[in-house]
Amino acid sequence: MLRVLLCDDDLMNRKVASKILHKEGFDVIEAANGREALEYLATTSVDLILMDLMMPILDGYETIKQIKASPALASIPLIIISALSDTDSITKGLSLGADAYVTKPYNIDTFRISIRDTLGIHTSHV
Amino acid sequence: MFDFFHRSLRNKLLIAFIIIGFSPYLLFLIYTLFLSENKILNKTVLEQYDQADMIIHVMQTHLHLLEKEVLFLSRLDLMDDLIAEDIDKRISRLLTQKYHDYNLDLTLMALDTNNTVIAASSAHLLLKKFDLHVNFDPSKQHVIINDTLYIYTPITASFDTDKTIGTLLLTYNLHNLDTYLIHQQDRHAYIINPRNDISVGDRRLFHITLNQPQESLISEEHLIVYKKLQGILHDWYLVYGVDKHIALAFLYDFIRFMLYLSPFIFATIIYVAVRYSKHVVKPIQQLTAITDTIIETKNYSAQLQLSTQDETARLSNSFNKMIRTTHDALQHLERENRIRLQRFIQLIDIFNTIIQTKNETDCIEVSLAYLKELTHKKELFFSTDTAACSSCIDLYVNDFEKNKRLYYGYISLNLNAFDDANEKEFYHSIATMIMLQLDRIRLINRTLSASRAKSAFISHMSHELRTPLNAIIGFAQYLITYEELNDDQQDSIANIESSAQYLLGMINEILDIAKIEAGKMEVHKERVHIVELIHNSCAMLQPLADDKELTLQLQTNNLEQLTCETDPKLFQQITLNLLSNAIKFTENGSITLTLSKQNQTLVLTITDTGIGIEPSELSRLFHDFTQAGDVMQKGQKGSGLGLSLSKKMAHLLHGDVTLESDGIGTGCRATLFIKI
Repeated sequence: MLRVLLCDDDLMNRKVASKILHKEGFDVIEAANGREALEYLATTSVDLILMDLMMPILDGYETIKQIKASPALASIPLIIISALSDTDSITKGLSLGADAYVTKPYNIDTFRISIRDTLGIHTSHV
Repeated sequence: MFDFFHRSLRNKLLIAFIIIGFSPYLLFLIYTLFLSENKILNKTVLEQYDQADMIIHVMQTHLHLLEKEVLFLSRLDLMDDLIAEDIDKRISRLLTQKYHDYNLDLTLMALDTNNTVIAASSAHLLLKKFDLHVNFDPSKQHVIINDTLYIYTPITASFDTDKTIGTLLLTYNLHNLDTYLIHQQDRHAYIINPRNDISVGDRRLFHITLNQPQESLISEEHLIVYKKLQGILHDWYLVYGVDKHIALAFLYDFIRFMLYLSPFIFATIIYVAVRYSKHVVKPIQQLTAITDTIIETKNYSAQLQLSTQDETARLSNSFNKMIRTTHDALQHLERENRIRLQRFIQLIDIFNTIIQTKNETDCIEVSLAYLKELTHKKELFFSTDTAACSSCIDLYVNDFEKNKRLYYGYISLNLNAFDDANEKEFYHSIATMIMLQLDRIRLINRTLSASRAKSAFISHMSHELRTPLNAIIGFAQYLITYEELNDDQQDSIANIESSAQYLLGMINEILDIAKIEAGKMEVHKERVHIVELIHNSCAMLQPLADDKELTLQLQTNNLEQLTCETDPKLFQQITLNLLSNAIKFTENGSITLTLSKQNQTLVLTITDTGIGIEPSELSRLFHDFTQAGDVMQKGQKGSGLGLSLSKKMAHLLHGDVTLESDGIGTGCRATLFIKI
């Protein structure tokens, strides 16, 4: 079973995403901010990271930077799931090395296709 | 003609010189011609009187001598012989001797008491009775009868002087006097006795009436004087005449000479006048010429050189001084201008540099560097010390929040050290420039921070609203997708989801409007295939049309291949807004999209067969949150932002959105114009 790290400070959003991911057959680890996510990543291996951007303590941008800076974690597929829909945020997020950018509120189909595509692309690379 | 006189100083001088030079000559000529003749004649008359007096004197002396001779002879002792002998040869010899001595037409004779000639100078008279037609007046010694003068004296006996023994008689022809009269070509004299009109000398040349003791007459040809004689000839007059032309000959010669001379004199005067007027006017002409040269060449260093010592020399000196002063003033002005221009260029340069500074520190540093360079004072500094230097450049800035002026600091440049007020002004201008730039920087920063705050707010709001919506929509879609629900549950969840979607749409629109108004909506133009974009929009909304069984038609008017530079996202959003509006307000019939091109404008018209709008309400619809009144009541969904947002987006693309309707029930026509 593929393991997904779901990092989002909003509990409701974490819940709904977690439910969908469970239904889609993923093992979900939840983190409420970037620091928690990095702590999990330090100990647990994951197949996919879903990262919110606007979070307290350590925001998504910084977290992605650190993940991409770490050789062990850099290759993990990463999708940004954020309510920031402006071009600057999307460009900035993708330029940090994210594989996809999904804006909230997302359509469940878009969400699923995005995950599948990211993993598919990644798998084909591997 | 008078222009010749009025316009030329030289001509004036010329005329003056000619008048002054010629008038004495002319006066002299006039005097000679009209006045000197009488003077000369009068002088000549006086001369003639003298001449006449001289002739008279000679004649009278002559006659007086004769008289004395007769008296002398009568007293001789010899005369006693007259009685002694009847005919005394000795007396006759004496008388003859005397007659020869005189050699004149005269006769000497001795008469006895019976008037018989006893002795005579001429022998044929002897012993003849001498008949005098008049008696000898014993009281007189002479008598004149006609043209003969008789001089007589009694002969007395030597022994008795009271006893007259005879008479000694001299008969004298007055024509003898002719020798004393003048007979020349130009002057004549004669004597005349007006009583009997007997004259001696040539009296043909001039006849006159003698009625005064003496007088002068001037006839056409002669100048005549006459004078009464004295003594023996006391009844006689001497008339003396001079040919007038001869007398005036010198005068006429002189006048002729003067007239002959006048052209030469006139020429000389003109020559001298021309030369002298030229000489007088020459400095003025030189002055005029040099002034003209200066005006033409703008060479104010030119100087006038005159060799004269008179007023013109003083004028030229003053002129030279004036020119020198003007020259100096111009040079000074030119130097000043150069300095001003240089200062002006420096000011522009400083302005260009200062205006590019991005923050206050840069602004102060750059300005200080400039001031150091301009004043060559490396020790200049800026201080924010409130104890401001009194004569330094003080800097103030505006507090835009409180709308008042604040002391900012000073630059340690002592403005009182500048004597030149312009220099002071120059540095004041720089100070003003610095203060303006400080204000500008502060204002820009203030605006930027306000703008950033607005952007941050929009971004934050967007994020905060979308986050809970994500949960709502996510849960609703999760239930619909993964849970087995009965129809009622399915319907309820679908309602939640669609309401959330509607809310999302509205939030998006509000944020878009806020973005446009904050100037944050960016336009990213690229070359796009317009018909493809429209097709996409139609495809997206086709399900909604299908739900209401409306037909969507697109008329491309041969513009299928048209591409143009525009922002595809904005274009599509506008198209979607207008099209969804048309679908929303149309219950049955069709919606037609017509694409056309007018010059450089792309026109997309969306015509529906919907409910239509009252024309009076059309303009209101472009206001935010506005829908046509009765439309709201029909429960139509819509934020009322769609048209307003579409119009604003069209403006970003340099276009517009208009709406037309002929009223309720006639459908509606929305048109998008975009400049391409």
